[in-house]
Order: sequence, then C-alpha cells, then structure tokens
Amino acid sequence: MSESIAVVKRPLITPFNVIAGLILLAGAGAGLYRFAVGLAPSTNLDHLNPWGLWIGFDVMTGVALAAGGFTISSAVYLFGLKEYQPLVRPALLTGFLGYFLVVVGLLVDLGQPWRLPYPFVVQSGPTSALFEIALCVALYLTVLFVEFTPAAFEWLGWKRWRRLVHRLTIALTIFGLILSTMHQSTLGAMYLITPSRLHPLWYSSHIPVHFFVSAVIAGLSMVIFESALSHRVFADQVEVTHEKLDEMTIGLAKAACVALGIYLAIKVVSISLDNEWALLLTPYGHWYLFEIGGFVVLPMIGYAIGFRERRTTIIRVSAVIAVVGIVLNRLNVSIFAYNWQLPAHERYWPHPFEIIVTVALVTFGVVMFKWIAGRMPILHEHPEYRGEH
Amino acid sequence: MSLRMAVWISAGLVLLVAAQVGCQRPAARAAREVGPGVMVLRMPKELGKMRRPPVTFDHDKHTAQVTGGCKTCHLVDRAGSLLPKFMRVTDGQSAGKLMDFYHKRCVGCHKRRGEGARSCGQCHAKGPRTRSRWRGIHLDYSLHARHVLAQKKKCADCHHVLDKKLQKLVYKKGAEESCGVCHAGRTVGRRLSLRSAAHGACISCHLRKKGGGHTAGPLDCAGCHSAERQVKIRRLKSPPRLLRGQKDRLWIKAAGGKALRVPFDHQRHEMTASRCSTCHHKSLASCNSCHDSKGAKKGGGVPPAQAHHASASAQSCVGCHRRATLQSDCAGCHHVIKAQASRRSCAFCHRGPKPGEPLPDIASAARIQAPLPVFSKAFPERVTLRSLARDYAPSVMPHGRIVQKLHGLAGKSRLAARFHGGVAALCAGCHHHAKSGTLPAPCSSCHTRRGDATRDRPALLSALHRQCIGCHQQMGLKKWLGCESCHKKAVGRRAPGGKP
Amino acid sequence: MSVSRRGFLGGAGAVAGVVAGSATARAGGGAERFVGYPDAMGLLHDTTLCVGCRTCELACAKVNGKPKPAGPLHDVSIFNKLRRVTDKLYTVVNRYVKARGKKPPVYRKHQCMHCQEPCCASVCFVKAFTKTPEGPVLYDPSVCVGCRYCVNVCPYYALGYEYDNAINPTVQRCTMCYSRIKKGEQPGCAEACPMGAIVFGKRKDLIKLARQRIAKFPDRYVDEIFGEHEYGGTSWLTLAGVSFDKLGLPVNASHKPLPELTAGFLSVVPLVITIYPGLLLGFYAWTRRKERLTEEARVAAVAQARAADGEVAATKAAEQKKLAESRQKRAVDLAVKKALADAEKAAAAKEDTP
Repeated sequence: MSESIAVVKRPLITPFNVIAGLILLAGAGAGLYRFAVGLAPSTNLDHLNPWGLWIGFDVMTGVALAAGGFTISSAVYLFGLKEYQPLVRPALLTGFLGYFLVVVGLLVDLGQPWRLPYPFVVQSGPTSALFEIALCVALYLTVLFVEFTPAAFEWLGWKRWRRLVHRLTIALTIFGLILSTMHQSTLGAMYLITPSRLHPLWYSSHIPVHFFVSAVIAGLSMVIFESALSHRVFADQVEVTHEKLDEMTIGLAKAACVALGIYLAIKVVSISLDNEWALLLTPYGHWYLFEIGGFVVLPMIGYAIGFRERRTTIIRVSAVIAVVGIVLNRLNVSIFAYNWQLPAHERYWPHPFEIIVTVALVTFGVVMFKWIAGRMPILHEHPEYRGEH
Repeated sequence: MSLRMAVWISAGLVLLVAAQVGCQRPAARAAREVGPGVMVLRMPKELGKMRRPPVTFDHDKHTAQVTGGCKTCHLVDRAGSLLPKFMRVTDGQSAGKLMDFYHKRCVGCHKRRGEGARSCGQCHAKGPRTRSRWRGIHLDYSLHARHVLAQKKKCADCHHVLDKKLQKLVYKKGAEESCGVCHAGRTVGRRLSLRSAAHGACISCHLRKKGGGHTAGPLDCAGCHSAERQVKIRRLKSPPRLLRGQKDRLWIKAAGGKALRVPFDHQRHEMTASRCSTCHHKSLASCNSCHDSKGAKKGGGVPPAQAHHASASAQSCVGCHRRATLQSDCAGCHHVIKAQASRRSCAFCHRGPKPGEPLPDIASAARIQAPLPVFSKAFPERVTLRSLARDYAPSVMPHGRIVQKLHGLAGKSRLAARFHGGVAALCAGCHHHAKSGTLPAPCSSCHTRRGDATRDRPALLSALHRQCIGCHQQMGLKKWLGCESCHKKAVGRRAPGGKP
Repeated sequence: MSVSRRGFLGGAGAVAGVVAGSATARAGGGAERFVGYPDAMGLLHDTTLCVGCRTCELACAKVNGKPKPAGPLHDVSIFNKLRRVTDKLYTVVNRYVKARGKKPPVYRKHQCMHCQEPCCASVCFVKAFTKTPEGPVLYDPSVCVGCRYCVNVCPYYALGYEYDNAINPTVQRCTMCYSRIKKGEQPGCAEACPMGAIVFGKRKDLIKLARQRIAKFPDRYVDEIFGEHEYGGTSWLTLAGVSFDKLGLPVNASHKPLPELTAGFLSVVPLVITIYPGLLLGFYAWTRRKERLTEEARVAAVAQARAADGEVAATKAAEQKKLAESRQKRAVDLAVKKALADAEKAAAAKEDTP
C-alpha cells in the first residue's frame, strides 16, 4: 500500500457515484436484455444498416480517443521529449481502459461473441482488414496492460516485477506504435471496399491516412482535456504544478495544431484528386464543410492562438472541439454518410438501449479511471521510484 | 501577433472557399418547360461573342401586349411579307451597333410603356435550363386542302420556283414542291431559311386575311407550334386527292436492277400517309431519281436496295411496313419476330416480270390476291394443355377464338391481308415453324421441359407462358389477375418448384 | 534505463513473424487477372420477360424452408413499396418502373449476385465465404462470429442477418441452390419461372446468349449485360430495356473488383512491420545520443569550470605569498635599519661621556 500519500477516506455515497451507479445498472440491464433476446429487439440494426452506434462509436471512436497512449509514450520515450513524462501514465491508463471498453463494446455487438477467438484458433481470413484489426487490437491491449502494470506493481509493492517490466519500456513503446499505426489506419481501410455505400466526400483511397492522422489529433487532444480534468479532480494528489501543466499543455497544443493542419491538407488533397468540389455544394457537402470548418479548422486556429498567446483556456476548449470533431468524423463515416443514397425511412438511428449501453460503457471507463488513479501512482510518482522513469 | 495570424488564416480560408465556388459544376437540375414562343436571342456568330448571357425572349407574350400588330416590330418587304428580323433587314457589320440597335428599341419601348425589363440583368439572365414545348407543324393533306380552298385553288399564291435566268420567283405548274425542298438550313444570300420563309409567307398571309375581315390562321407562335392548339385545328374528313401528275399504279424497278418488278399501288399508299413528304422525304421526285445504283451524293449515298428495304427507316417500303406491325393489333405476334425482314416475304412484293420482259396490266397485278383463307374445320376449337399440369389444372386455350380474332385483325388492314396470305403466315406467330398444309408440330417437340440455354430456346413452361402472356401484354388484352385467371389451382395442391 | 538488446530483438522478431505471416496480401502485384472459373454456372435474368408473378419467391421459400412470401401473388399492391432482401426472404421481385400507356411495368428479381470477386469473402475475417468453382458463393455458418462486416459492405444489399436469433444468429442469403446444382438440377427460381425470365447455364454461355438476344432485338434491350464486368463481374447477369440505374443497380460501376482496394492497402502492412522497428529504434538511438552528448558536454563544462577556479586560486596564492614576502622583507629591512640606527646612537653616546 502506498505510504506517503495518505488515502483520504472518501464517502461512498456521492452524487457522482450515485449517478454513475444508476447508469451502470441501466447499462448492465440493457446488456443482459441484448443477450437474452438477441439483437433485433434491443437495437435498430437491420439488413441495410448492420453497424450502428456500438460499432460506430464504441469501436471506431473509442479506438481513436484511446490513441493518447501511443502518442505520448512515443513522444517521451522515443523522441526524447522528457518534459511530458508526467502525462505518460494517465495517457496509458486512458488508452488501456479505452481499448478494454472497445473490446467490451464489440462483444456486446457481435452476433456470437463467444466465437471471437475463432479467427486465431479455428480459421483465419487474412484478406480481411478486420482480421488485421483484431490481431493488432488484441496485441495492443496486451501491450497497454503490460505498460500499465508498473503502476500497479508499485502500488502492490512488487519490486522485482516492477523492475522487470520497466526494462521492457522501449520495446513495448515501439511495438505499441507499430500496432497503433496499423490498426488506426486499418480502421479506415475497412471502408476502402465500400465506395458505393460511403459518400464520396468521406470516401477516399487515402482513408487509412486520414484515420491515422485524426487518431494522433484525438490522442493529443484527449490528453490535453483529460490532464486538465484530472488536475482539477485529483488536485489533492497531483504533483505537477499549474505552471508545469500549462507548459505541457501549450507544447501539446503546438503538436496538435500541426497535426490538424496536416489533416486539413490531406482532406483538401483528397477532394482535389477526386475532383469533388461540386459535391461541396450539396446538402451532404454542407455537412462535410461543417465538420471540417467547425471541428478541424476552428480547433486548429484555437490551438495556434493558444500556444502563441500562451492561453491554456483556449487550448482546452479547442481540445474539446477537436475531440468532438473526431467523434463526429467517425460517426459520419460509419453511420451518417454511410448508405447515404438510401431513402430516409431506410436509414439508421440508434435504439435507446444502444445509447444506454454506450453511455454505460463510457461511464464505466470514467469510474475505473477514477478508482485506479485515486489509488495507484498514476497522477503522482511513487516515492520509492521517484525519478525512475 | 495573434490578430495577424488570425487574418492570415482567414484569408486562406476565403481563398479555399473561393476556389471551391469557382470550381463548381452546376448541379444538374430538372429543366423548366417553356412555351413554344420562347426563343433565345444571340449575337450572330460572325459578329462576335456576347459578354452577357443571351436573352430569353417570349415572343407570344410580346405579340399579345403590342397594340400595333406585327408591323410594330417587323418590317414588310415589297411583296408584302413580314421580314423575320426585328425592325431591320440585315444584321450589319458591327456587333456594338447591333447591340445598341436592340437596346434602344427594346428598352426604349419598355421605358415608354412603363413596364418590362429595364436593367441589364433582367433580360441577360443566366436562367435555369429550359425545355421548349415547341412542336413543328406540317401541312398534311387536310391542312393543305384548307389552304387550297381558302386561296381558291390559286397554287401560285404559295408555290414558286426561282427562274435562274430572270433571277425571279415564278410559278411553274406541275413543279409544286414542299417549301423545305429549297428553303433548307440557314439563310444563304437571298434564299431564306425555312423558318424565315415560312414565317414570312404564312404569317403575312394570315395578317392580310385577318385585315381583310376573313378567318385566317393563327398569328402567334403557339397557334401553330403548340401541341394543344395543333389538336384544335379543324380537319377535313376526306380532303381531295393531291394531283401532281402521279400515276395511280406503277411498276417499280431499280435502274440496272435484277430483281422481279414490284407492282405498286400509289393511290392506295397515298391514303396510308398524312402527307406526301412522309415518303417523298426530299422532293416529289421518284425514289430512283436520287437513289441511283452508284450511291450518288444527292441520295445520301444510299443505294436503291437500301432505300426500299432498310427496316429501320421510316421512308423505305420495308421500314414503313415494319412500323405498321408495331401497333398493338399486330404486336402480339410481331414483337417476337426479329427486326430484319425474312426472305420469304420478298415474293409478296416482287411479283412482277423479270427486267427486260414485257409488263402485264398493272391494274390486275396490283390488286390484292386471294383473300385470307377461311380457316379449316380441322383447326381445333379448344386445345387443352395438360402435359405440364401438376400444381394447376390443365389449361384450356380457346384456340378457335384466337384464330378468329387474328383473322379479323389481319383482314382489317390491307397490308396485313396482303402479307398474311397463307395460313402459315397468319399462324406463324404461335406455330412458328409450321409448314403450310401440314399439321403444326406440338410445342413440346422442340421445347423440352428443361429448355436449351445455348440455343436460347425456352423450356416448355416458359415457352407457353411467354407466348400467351407476351401476346396479351403487347396487345393490351386482359389485365394480369394472377395465375388462376387462366388456370385454376389443382386439387391436392403442391407449391411450384421442386423436381420435374 | 537499460534494455537487453538481444531480448528485444528476439521478441520483436517473433511477433513480427507471426503478424506478417498472417497478414498476407494478393500475390503477383496485380499483373495477372482472374477471369473466373471456366465452367462456373450463372443465371441470366431478362427483365423484359419478367411479369412480376413472384413464383420465384415462392419456389425459393419452398426450397430453402423459409416462410412463404407476403400476400397473394397476384396482389400487385405489394409493389408499391420497394422491398429488400432479408434473412427470411432470400430473393425479392420489385417493380421499378410503372406501366406507362401501352408499355408494361418493369420488374426485376433481386438476390445475392454471386460475384466473381465477392466483397463478402474478402472482408470475412474467419473466411466463412468461399467462391466455389461451380459458381455460387457459399457461406459456412459454423465459423461465423457475427461481426456483420459482410452485410455492411455488399454493394447490392443482398445479405440478411438473423437479428432475432439470440443463440446462433447467422447470415442468410441466396445460395444459388448449391446442393441442387451439384445434383445437376436447376436453382429453384430458374425452374419455377413460368416466363423463362431466368435462364440457368454456364456463365460464359449465358453471356453469348445475352449478346445474341441484344443483337436480335436491338430496340428492346439496353446494349449492356449487367454483371459482365461490374465490380469484377457477377454470376447473375441482367438484361433490361431501361437503363440499369432505374432498376436499382449501380451504373458506371468500376470494372475493378472491390477486394483489390483492400488488398492494395493490406500489402502495405508488412512494410510497417519491417520498417518501423528499425526506424523507431533509430529515433530512440538518436534521442539517446543527443542526451549522451548533452551530458558529456555538461560534465566537460563543469570540469572546465572547476579547473578554471583552481588556476585562479593558485595565482592568488602566489600573489599573497609575494606580498607577504615583500612585507616581511620590508619589516626586516626596517628592523635592520632601526638596529643600525640604534647602534650608532649608542656608540655616539658612549663617546660623549669621559
């Protein structure tokens, strides 16, 4: 048990706990219902729209938002940006919990989730993008778990295990970056085979690159947002000063701004190569311009102003907008701009149970983060291992 | 610092938006329908390009509004015909002067009246795509006859030819042609285009007549060129025959041709068309005068054989006969018969002597030969199709009624009667390989239960259904009311499909 | 932090080998073309012959053990809405163009097209779909995990999924009556169609047949056989008298098979596995080198500073010593002078007294 930081006895009945508890209960109920009666009564999925909110948000968006893990750990360990060291553990924890929830969400959505290991043990279809994603996500979840264990070992006091795992840091970081590059881009590559069903503005033969760059954006923005939130919620245990946090935020904003700029450039190039300018004047085109203008260009400008003027509030607001933009982009690709030619009565809208399960999963992630970060040395350094990172 | 950066970024965005707007392709929108009087006024190509969009001008609207009549805008030539151009004879040499000419008069009039477009963009508007309801009009026998009566048979009032020596328009009896024979394409020198000539001649005459207190044809565009008003034009029930020295019956042969001569009843054929130019599509000369065996240019390079036999053409013999088979009375059988004429039907027309032999009396040769044969008592009245009956009761086909109906339809049309002279021809629609004089083979002798995909020969079930349903569909008979309308379900039902 | 290089390389190599081995891409770099199995069967659907009697739907339901299609077959009001293929309705006949005057309405039967290069087979990560040499694309429900990627990507919306089955939901679609074909029979719909609007035969023969029909009746057909080349070609060919986009089929579809789009990307994956480790280790080594150089420079600067301090101290000491020595010397000189002066004074005083 940690000795130096006194664990404050927190009461169990707090507003947050009560609300979270209710949501989790509702989610569990909906999940049980889904498994009891099948997908038909518990979702709005049909033969034209087989992928709904669970794939569109839980899987596709979840993986993007959990990308902070590989971005920060690569920055610190591979590119030597040591000043961001305090952000590594929270980012890795967010990543681990995020990927864990992706898998849970996937299990809820699959028709026969107990068969999930089949591609590896029964028969594999390596021509499928999904095969590569499954493999990479399985491996990456393991990597993230292993990268998270030093904090747990420190908390448990298992010194030898902690030392052993710590030695693997570089290897794990490199492996994590390889895996992340592959599966973040392959999530986009899943849609390469659907030029007739995905709207041409969102479809491009460069979709994998779009998805990878937007994952980097999502990762950086999530770290900015989550670090600001943790700094406030866990103010009693964070060791990073406001000034240091602001410095790191400003540095991340610079990187995220460049990433958004690259993303915008890639998007413009894709439209130009496919000569889709005329499509921007259609209703879907307006929606696309809204997504790009409001959620790519705007945060890019916000980040730029923020790091130039050294104003962290603008940066944090831009981070939230950027994260919402990535969510919007993933939902557009998987739901709103998908099957765009079908008439309105054949389009998809999530069933309330789907929404409940999704919200419950996100809440579960937040609750787990709070529990772990409140006990293990995530937001602070363990006194015995100070400096050993 | 940040303001400058914001300005740069905004400028970049504006550029992006501008590029996107500039590169737009206008989305394809449904075209707007406009009346027949709407025309587009453009600068003549020889004078140059317009800087603003061409003007969409509603002629009928102006005709209705203008109080002074046609002469308000159109000059009149020495003969009294209206000139087609607006207030002038020629376009001149200068685009700028022509533009000012129009502007002064159009906008000037609008200003004087206090209504109508006055600013540039109101006339020179880039509007949506339009589709005009304009329909061409022909002088068919009826309309021509009405004009003949109105002019008291004075052909010279409309028909003229150019006397090259005198360089004058004179009337030559026996050389009357359709206007379009000379007045074709665009105006070249003093030879007006059909549009200018027709409008000048027709409308001027109508104007004169109206001025003289007689009833006359329309003066507005829609009067001749809209479908609704065309339908309202009074038709003579049996207009007198147009005589221009044509023979009633004649032998057709191609110069140097080897085929048997064809007896041709010109008088009867006149009645199948609504005007001469249906067949005499360029001039009233005979086909062979342009379509000679060398493929002359004036015949469009079409040799005589093609001119008479091309099945896709509207003017050739075979082509016109084929179009006749597309009517619903005939389409039941004919829609499965391929487009090209079959060899057997040559003899129906080529019944005359060989070239070089003496010509018999045309009147007797052109007469329709034996009428349609009375159908034999051997023809079954009813045919029960029971070989495939399993889920449905055997189907009883009213064979006699069908034969009688076809006989009646064929008899109604002289063309059909001519070509369905033999039993085989009339029955070939269903008994398509039957030889005359023999009992037709049963369908199943060729149409097996399985069918033959390599020969495109349907299975027996498909062949029977396609024959019946196809014929009904093409002839517009009996609405589809489900399988039971032709054969009731069998007792002890079994769903279709499964082992044969 | 130290990492055992051997350990890292060994581990990375093993994993890379596994991943690379499983993520195989199309061989040949695209120089070859697969034109389909030579004796594959197909079906030709002539929509100018279809009268919308829906006997094919009934036959299909009977052969596959599915519930009968809706409504009495002759009730044409069912055509007022476009129906879709579902898990219980493998094939569906829709009316795409209403009757206009004398022209009859245009119907088309829709079902799985049994593509030559099926998207469903390409995207299934348990390889549940197989394109058989006989023509049909078959589905193996015993390995299906239920991810529904296939249902999501089919360009013809031809797959259904058993959403209401909680225990063992599977994909449901037309199978081209594979078991019947193997026995030498025709698919149920082809056999049942009373108008012969569906012809079953070898795909290459059906293409010839379709071309013959178009040549024989050029006014009746659009001069194109749908399915000959679209997205690599399908086993189900369609002839029509109206343009295919009016019949709910994609016009101007690329002739390139859609799975090639994924294969092109997946061929890049092994490159990531081979290039990244070296590249990232390089970054790491570069970062370390930078750190090491900075550290060395720092140590050198400290030492130099220290040494500089030492020199200064020595100079100072020497100066101090010189100063002390000169002070001492002066003191001695002064003392000597004083002593001499005193001696003189004493000598002088002695001389004065007798």
